[in-house]
Amino acid sequence: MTIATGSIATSSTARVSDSSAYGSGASSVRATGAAGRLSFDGVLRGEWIKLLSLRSIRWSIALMLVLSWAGAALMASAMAGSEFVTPQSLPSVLVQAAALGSMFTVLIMGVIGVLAITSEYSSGLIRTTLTAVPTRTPMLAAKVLVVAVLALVVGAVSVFGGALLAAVILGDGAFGVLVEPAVLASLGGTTAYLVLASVLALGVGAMLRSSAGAISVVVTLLFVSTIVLQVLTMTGWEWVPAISQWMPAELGTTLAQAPIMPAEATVGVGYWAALGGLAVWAAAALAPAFLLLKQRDAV
Amino acid sequence: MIEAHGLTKRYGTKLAVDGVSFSLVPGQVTGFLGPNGAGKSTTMRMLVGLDRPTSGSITVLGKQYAEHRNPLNVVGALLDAKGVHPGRTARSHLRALAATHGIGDARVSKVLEITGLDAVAHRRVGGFSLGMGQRLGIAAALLGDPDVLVLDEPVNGLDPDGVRWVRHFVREYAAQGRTVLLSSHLMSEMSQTADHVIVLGRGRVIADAPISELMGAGSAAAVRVVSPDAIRLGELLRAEGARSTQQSDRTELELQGISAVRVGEVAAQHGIVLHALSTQTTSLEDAYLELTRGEVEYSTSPAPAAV
Repeated sequence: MTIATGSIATSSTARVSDSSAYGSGASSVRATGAAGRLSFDGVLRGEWIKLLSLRSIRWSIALMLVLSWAGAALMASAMAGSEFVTPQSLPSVLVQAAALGSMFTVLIMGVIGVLAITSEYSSGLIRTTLTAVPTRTPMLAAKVLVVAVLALVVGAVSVFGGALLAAVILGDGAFGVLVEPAVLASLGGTTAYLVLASVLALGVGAMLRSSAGAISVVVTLLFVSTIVLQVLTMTGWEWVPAISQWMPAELGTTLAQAPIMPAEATVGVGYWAALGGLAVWAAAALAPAFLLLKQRDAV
Repeated sequence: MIEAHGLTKRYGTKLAVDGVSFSLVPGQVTGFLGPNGAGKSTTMRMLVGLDRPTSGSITVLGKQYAEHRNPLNVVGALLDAKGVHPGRTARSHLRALAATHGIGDARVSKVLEITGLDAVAHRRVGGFSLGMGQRLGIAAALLGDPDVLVLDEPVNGLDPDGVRWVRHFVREYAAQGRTVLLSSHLMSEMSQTADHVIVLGRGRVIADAPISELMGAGSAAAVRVVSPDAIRLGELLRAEGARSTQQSDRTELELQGISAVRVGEVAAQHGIVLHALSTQTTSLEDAYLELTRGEVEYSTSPAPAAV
């Protein structure tokens, strides 16, 4: 008995601030500032706070910027002064340097998209979230917007920043090339790829509700499938290129390459078809996610 | 305030909630009492729209929870202490939740203060003790200053100070004319907090009564008597019509069907020395066990038809 009381006393004093620091009672609860109204604006703001208040997300963003800038700087340094850099090839070199990292950064964006929703399921936060937004749809819509805007800003900074960095290293009129419409279209296309891939990943996460499962699917779609299809190309089967040109990673490459390639050299679908194709991928993941969210029990 | 009609929830083949009906009135603390798996949490989850009833309905102020335009101002719910991302600080968690309803930072600070978390508001929730997590859940439930407070096992993991605080808090909350629904599998907790108790067992309502009534509803009050001559006294009292329900040792008797007054009179008439004489009111725990006994028996051994 004595031991029990002693241990309770110890544990409550040992835990910092867990001892009787309780504030006022219920009488002081009736307070101003508590009355509110659920609105999409509010849900959107709530999702922003959630996304930006996680250290893991901030680290991922930093990693993404470092990767894509390092890729651009490395490639530009390797190419600088070589015979491959000619006025004709300069747009292609700039775009390739800026987009080099995107093969990996798209995976980071994908993980951010997945975790934006699956972390709520793994932590149980989803119960709190859906109690605040019981109509549910606005919550997922807000997540789509927030993830897309984050991917747009971070993606643009990483891609255009990478191109700028490469231009600085390459020198010699590279700045002029940067603002050519074709180059801007390529850089914008790569950014769009990052945005749509993150939305696709969010949809997969919302469907599967498990971080590990959703990340596996996303990595397969964005990365592994490319390798598998490349191996299959060697078989010479005709359906392989027909399929592989519509895979997300291939569409991303098309968005980066098509504008700066001479028309006769382009393979695969065109720029706008690639953009549309990626949008269809994202929508195909989101549509069932919205339907399931509305129908299923919360957990 | 809250009305459930024939509320039923089936998960696969398991019937978690089976035709539950009840209504909760403002100004009192209602306790959901029942063993684990009785359907308390499932009913609460359906109340706030997390789970969809298989059939039946549960409404708040005449509407489904999700139909309210300001749900956090109508119902504040603590469903389990884990409804928080471990990587976020307590304040960020509450700010994100408050933002959905346009509730300001002043209110966030206020609920942190009410629950005594202001000193750790900047800390990440992952490092919180179970009790601190529980308090953060209560803080979140209070954000919208709701008319209905729904707390699932709120004292779970709280230190004795915290337990006392929650008890006091919900009593005061109800005293303001608001509705409190509180679940627990601890009967002692209910007897100290609730005005009205709904006992659930295997998904059904076993009892729905004011706590005072429930405590009287079990076996009749017993009289406990301690005497060095307990055996002779027992014989005399049984002759008076008393039933001796327990004789833990040779000096102690527990009797039913007789009043303490009569026991004293009989003892005096026969010159029997008494060391103790008291009336035992039925504890809620006894009443609860009495009420759920049938359910438990039913569940463990399918009763033969003859019984």
